[in-house]
Amino acid sequence: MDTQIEPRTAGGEEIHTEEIMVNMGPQHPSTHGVLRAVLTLDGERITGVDCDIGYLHRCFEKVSEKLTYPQIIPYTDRADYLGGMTNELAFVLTVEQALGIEVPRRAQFIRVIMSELQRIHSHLIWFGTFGLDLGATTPFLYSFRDREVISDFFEEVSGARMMYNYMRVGGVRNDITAAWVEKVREFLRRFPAYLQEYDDLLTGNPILKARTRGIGRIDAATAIAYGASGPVLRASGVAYDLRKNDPYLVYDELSFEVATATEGDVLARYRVRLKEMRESARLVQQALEGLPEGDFLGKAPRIIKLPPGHYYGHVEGPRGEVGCYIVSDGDRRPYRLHWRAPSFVHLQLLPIMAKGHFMGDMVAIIGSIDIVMGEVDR
Amino acid sequence: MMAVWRQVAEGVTGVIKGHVVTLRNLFRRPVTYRYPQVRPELPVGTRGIPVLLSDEEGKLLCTACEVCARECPVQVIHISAHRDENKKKVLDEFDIDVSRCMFCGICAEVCAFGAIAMSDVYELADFEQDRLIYNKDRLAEIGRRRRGPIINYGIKTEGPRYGPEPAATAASPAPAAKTSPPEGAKP
Amino acid sequence: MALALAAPALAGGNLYTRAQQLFLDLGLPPWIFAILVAAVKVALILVFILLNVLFLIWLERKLGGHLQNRLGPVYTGPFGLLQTVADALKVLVKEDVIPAAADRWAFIVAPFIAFVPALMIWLVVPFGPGLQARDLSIGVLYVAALSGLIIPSLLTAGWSSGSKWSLLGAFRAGAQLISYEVPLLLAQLAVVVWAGSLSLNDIVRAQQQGTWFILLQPVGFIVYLIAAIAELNRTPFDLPEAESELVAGFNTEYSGFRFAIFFLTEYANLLTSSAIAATLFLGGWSGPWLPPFVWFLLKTYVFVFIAMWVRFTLPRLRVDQLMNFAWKLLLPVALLNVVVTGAIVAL
Repeated sequence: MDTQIEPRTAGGEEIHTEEIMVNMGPQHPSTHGVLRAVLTLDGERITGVDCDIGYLHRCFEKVSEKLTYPQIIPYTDRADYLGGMTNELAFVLTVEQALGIEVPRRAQFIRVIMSELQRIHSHLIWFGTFGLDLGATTPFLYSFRDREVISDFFEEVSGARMMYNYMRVGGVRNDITAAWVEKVREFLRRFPAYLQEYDDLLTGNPILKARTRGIGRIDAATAIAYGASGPVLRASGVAYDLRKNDPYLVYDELSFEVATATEGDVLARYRVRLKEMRESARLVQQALEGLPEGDFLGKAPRIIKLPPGHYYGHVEGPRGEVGCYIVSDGDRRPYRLHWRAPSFVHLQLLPIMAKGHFMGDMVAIIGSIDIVMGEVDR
Repeated sequence: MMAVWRQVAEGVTGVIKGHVVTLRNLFRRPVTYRYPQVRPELPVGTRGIPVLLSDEEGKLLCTACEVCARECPVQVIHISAHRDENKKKVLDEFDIDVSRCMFCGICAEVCAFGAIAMSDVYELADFEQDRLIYNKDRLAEIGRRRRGPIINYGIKTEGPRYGPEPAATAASPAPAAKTSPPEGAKP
Repeated sequence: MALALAAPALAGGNLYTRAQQLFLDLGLPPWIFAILVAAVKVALILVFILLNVLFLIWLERKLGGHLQNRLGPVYTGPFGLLQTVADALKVLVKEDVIPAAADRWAFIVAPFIAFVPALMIWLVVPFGPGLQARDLSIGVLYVAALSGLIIPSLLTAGWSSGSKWSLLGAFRAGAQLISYEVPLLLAQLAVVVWAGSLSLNDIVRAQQQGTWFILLQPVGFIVYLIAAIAELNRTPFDLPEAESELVAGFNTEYSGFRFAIFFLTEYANLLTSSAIAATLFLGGWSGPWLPPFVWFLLKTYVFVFIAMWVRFTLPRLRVDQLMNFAWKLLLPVALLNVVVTGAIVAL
């Protein structure tokens, strides 16, 4: 069903009704935090979207200028609070690249495991909240039930469930134990059944299909022009994945498929994320198989000073390309740190996606780009 | 026409499948529990409030080197010390402002003497902000409840998970704390 | 006298006649007795509804919890049974906020416009043989007329709140409820055609002699089920109060006991729709072994369970899909059902 909206006409003339302006957010149940979208509505139809951000601004980038490199790591967790592991990874990879540090193979495998578990973790939250946005409350509880297991894994290795502070320059904070590996294996054995349950509950539902097909469509050219990445870009038919296109860690040794779809609508992004969860599970499985013995924390200078210069490192986070740009003047603290947040980039696409659709589609679109306001405002 | 019927059939089976899933879960055991009565079994290394550890005699391991205070990203550790007759540093005050602590665990990690560990005490809510500043005695008290070895820079404690009540002196206003005598360790 | 019909229901034939005799002996005019009996009936029905609504709210939360692998309410009383009582207390002691932009009187009156008809419908619901406040010969029509009265209430609430979310919710409520009223009535009409009477009591008796109408009218039952859920503003048709879109729709600005009245109305309507469904399609109070009243309750709760089960499974429709569904699918099916039913009955 194509939902391209035609102008309403009566006797050949277009009908115009008075438009109303509503503030969606910052206190709104489905703006995923504190996004404020000023909507211009013609009845139920959206004629304009104006996003107002900054309600969650915590000066992450500015504060980082006053912190030494190891001290910044816990702050990166708080930028995208649903993708802590990948954020930390982006930061430590940048620092390691600047210093030319060799990371032990075991640490690299552990980092892959954590990144992919983090991706599943984040996508599970997305799945639940997306269902919630569409009015189905149950997927939320089911996905949180399963996400809880991954949170427990993270807690066991890092001590925290969300703000891990786990990656270190040169490796990771703690080693993983055989018992932990066994628990993850057990989880991966059960995971396909969980996904099947989600498929039965939501994916196969005709209401979901009707609500998402053809909604919030963007083509590949627009997505690229706006700098979209991650599932949003891949759902528009561009198979761009940093794990393949600019392999870091040991991703080039592991086999996985880049999940893509061609439609570029909400349903396509939904499908891409569900597929990504499967691929991530596969990756964790492979990384656990190939996990070598050795150090989990390599040699790194006690006092980390980056040589003067500009450094950029990026990883494929759950939401897209997480980038860390460091300008150093040779001090123990960065001169300037910039964070490339995929949510911020994707938010710019929101007006294009939402225009012409219904009020009810707005929440589906916001849900489908999976924004995390902590990352947008930083 | 065939396509329409197929679509209808798909829709109906989709709806029915969803209902089967929820019905199946109705008879599954709930995964939630009654929280204050039933508590989660936390792994060792869970990052609750950082606490001070003592040796067998109950003496604090802290040497007042202040590495933790320096490395703390949010600067919530306040240490003061004086030198005794042997020019050895003696710890006077060790305060952690829990209301600003972000539980990153860096203090426990950088401590060369293993004097700080992350405990599993996490129920830190209080009615007064002053009480959220944990002084040396309160931190040491939680540390003495330690059970088992240090794993992942963390310890498990026994007894109630709440932090201890501040001592009578600590409850008095802040100026009093500043002028407290250097001798702090009580048997 | 119409009162005589309900007599055995209330207190047993003997007690009723004895009480009536007592009144006449005392020299009081018979109308005082009539008023008294009416008052007792109203009180009994009110107690029945309120108790059931309290239970329903608890059931929704408990069932919802277990459908979602949660415990649901556990802290208040055994199995959290007193949760609704605790909620009610909480809501009643809350500050009564009337927004500055609100149309004051309309804002105050709106919840009651919804609440009163929800209770009045119970006048004609047969709890058991003779256990009915009043057996109107136009029972079904009466139910339809009163259940339609919720629309002005929601429109008033949405309009008078002075909030855009409320207004949008009210628009949606108006459009949705009017649209779904049509298939709902047509589904009931098919039953009426089959039973040959508008009286709810006669419909139950027709099912007692024959079979339940759910077997004769499966299509009608499904249409009724869908339309009733839509009329009740429950997921997947909860657009007027879609919390992820419109914050809380028409009752965004309501708090305290006014919100409680809306809440109460919602569940009273759920109970009403279930009771009507049980009466029209599941044979009402008729059934073997158990007392009729128990049968009635059981069947009512079957429908309640279905409504709750659906709520915790499906996502929400969009506003245009909602309309399409009502006018392009549900209405033709319901019409066809009536035509086919009419043809069969005529033969």
